[in-house]
Amino acid sequence: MWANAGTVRADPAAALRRAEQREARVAAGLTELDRWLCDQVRQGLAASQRSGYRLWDDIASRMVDAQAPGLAERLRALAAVPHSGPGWEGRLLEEYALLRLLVTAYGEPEKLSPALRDAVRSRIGFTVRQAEVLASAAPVRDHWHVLARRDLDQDRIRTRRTWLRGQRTGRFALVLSFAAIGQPLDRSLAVGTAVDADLAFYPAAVPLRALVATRHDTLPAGAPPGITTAGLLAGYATALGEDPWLDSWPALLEATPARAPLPCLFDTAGDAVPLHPGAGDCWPLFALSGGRTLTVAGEWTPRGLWPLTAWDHARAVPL
Amino acid sequence: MLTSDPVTTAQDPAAVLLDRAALLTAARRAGWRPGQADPLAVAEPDPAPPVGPAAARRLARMLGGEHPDLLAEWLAAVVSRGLLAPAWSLPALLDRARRAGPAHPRLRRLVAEAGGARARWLAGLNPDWKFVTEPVPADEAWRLGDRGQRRSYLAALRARDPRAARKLIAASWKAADGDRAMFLSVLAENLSLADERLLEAALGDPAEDVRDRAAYLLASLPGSALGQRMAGRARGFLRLRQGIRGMRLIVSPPPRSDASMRRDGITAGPAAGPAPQAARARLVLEVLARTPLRTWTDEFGLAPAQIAALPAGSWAPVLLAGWARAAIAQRDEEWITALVTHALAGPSSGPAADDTALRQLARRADPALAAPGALPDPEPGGPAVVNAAAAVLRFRYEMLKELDDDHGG
Repeated sequence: MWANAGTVRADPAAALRRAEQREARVAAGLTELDRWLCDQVRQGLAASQRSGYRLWDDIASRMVDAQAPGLAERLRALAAVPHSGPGWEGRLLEEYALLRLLVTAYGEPEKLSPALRDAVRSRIGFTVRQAEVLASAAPVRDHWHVLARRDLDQDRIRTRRTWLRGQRTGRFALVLSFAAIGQPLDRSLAVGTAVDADLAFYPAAVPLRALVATRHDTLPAGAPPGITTAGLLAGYATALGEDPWLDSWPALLEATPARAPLPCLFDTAGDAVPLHPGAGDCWPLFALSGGRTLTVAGEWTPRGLWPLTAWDHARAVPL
Repeated sequence: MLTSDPVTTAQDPAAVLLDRAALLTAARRAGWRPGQADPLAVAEPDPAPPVGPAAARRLARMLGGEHPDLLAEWLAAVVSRGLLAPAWSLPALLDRARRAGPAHPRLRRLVAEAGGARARWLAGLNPDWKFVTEPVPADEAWRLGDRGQRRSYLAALRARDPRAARKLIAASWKAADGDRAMFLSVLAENLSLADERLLEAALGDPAEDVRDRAAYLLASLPGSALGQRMAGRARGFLRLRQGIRGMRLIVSPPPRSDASMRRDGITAGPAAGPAPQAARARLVLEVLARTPLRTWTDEFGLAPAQIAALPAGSWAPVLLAGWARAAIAQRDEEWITALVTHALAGPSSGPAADDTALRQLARRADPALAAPGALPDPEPGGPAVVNAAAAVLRFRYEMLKELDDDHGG
């Protein structure tokens, strides 16, 4: 194996060259994306409802070629926007605007804080290896309450998003796991329990994504403490100040569901936030509540709250 | 970052628009104001306790597709123990009851009762579930309603006053071609010998499903003339013979059915098909299924368990299937227990049992038969149908045990 020492020595230079090539490819891809975005605006958005998924699929494939898979994923997801109900043109423009903001930010890294630079690069699709995450920062040990999980299917991959909250630190964390469609997803984090674990956070402007570095124990857990809707919105606003692309924010509310004027959750101050229109009727949430206040965990998004777990007294019920 | 005005150094008007839109997007998302809500009325508290965690987990499995046909039994057990279904399960249960339609009033009633005050509260929010709070159907439903409403009215009347329901059916019979099968399904509740004349007349109905249903009901009616006619036929072809190796059953079926059999609902025709043996087996099965089970205990002077264990050669599965159908229709617990115990004793006792018969027996038999240690352990290589039936029995045993624990605790 020592015979390979020469190759090992040559590796750093080769890696550097590969990295430079990739940066060049991404930069060229982003220039193309910028042109495409401006073209969309010039042509007007009305036609994109008729153009079908191909419009976004084509530009997404070019972003894959440009080694910017994060952008490709964001673009593919846009195919659903024209069919998301009234106001879709505004939502599509918002997404285009945020994409151009990414292009601009990537082009001017000197103006960004290191954390924001990490956020921009991760959204474009530069991945950080798990080993680097584990090595980069001190892990955070806490009793992490497993609040909620959401499984999303994309292409041939299923993503499981598991939201945690540290009982001591109050910090939220998002653990992702992946599986091919039809394959079982990781079941080690059960909603309604707590794990005593060290979490390593990915570098980001708003660190949410984390890895379970070391797991010490599993503990029973009751209902976590929910907050007000004002607290939720203020927390999200602060986070957006750090990372304007953040479109999924952990929500843990003490609130009551209502159906009018729109399906929503309101707190004791009477402040209401809407439920996400895509979440459907949410009948189990209403059934659990019976018109009373309960603890609800979910994802806050620019379209409303996607409820994922509600607590029936001390017992967590996935919705 | 790009917050100073001018917000952009871009020259392209499209780029300028996008840069400004990005600012507005961030501002809109960060500046979201809470809205107002119209609170819902609060559900009445329900004094009954909900089922425990183990029963709730089992319900989740059933709603997810495991033994969904046992859901009604689970609900009935919950109701009879004065417990409640967990609140989260009510939307799924209500949807099931709604999809089952008015033709399954029992499921609707069970869901409404197991759901308690919370189910009534939900029914007030979703018109799909209004059957939970609907009052007993009025005369109008009978005179003007569709078939479902007419059925609901009739079923409610049958539950309240069986005689009045029978009279109403008899008076409406001639004019109600399409409703006759529905009438008979309502008669099945609270069936008595007083219904026999109506059912005997229905045996001559032009519609096959009406004739079949009438024959089925008469066969399940203890003391009916049809039962006696069947017993006469069955005694003619099933005999007990004392041989050198002990007693065995001898089957000598008639080659074909006659007109009187066909009138009594025996559809197995003359051996015109390519498989006369199959036709003969069907004839035996159908006659046995309609024969009062007391015929055999009286005739042979043996208990059901002894009869089920009698050797019958290749006829054994046919006899088991016929007796199983009879035991279920006649709700004869002793026979059900005897047959299921014999069938589950394993493949060594004879040819594999008939699938459908065993499946139905496992659903109707006393679940105590599956108490720990009572059943033989499932044989990995054993007949799938036997193992499946044992699994159903075990599932039912555990399901009821959990609810007993909740009830007692």
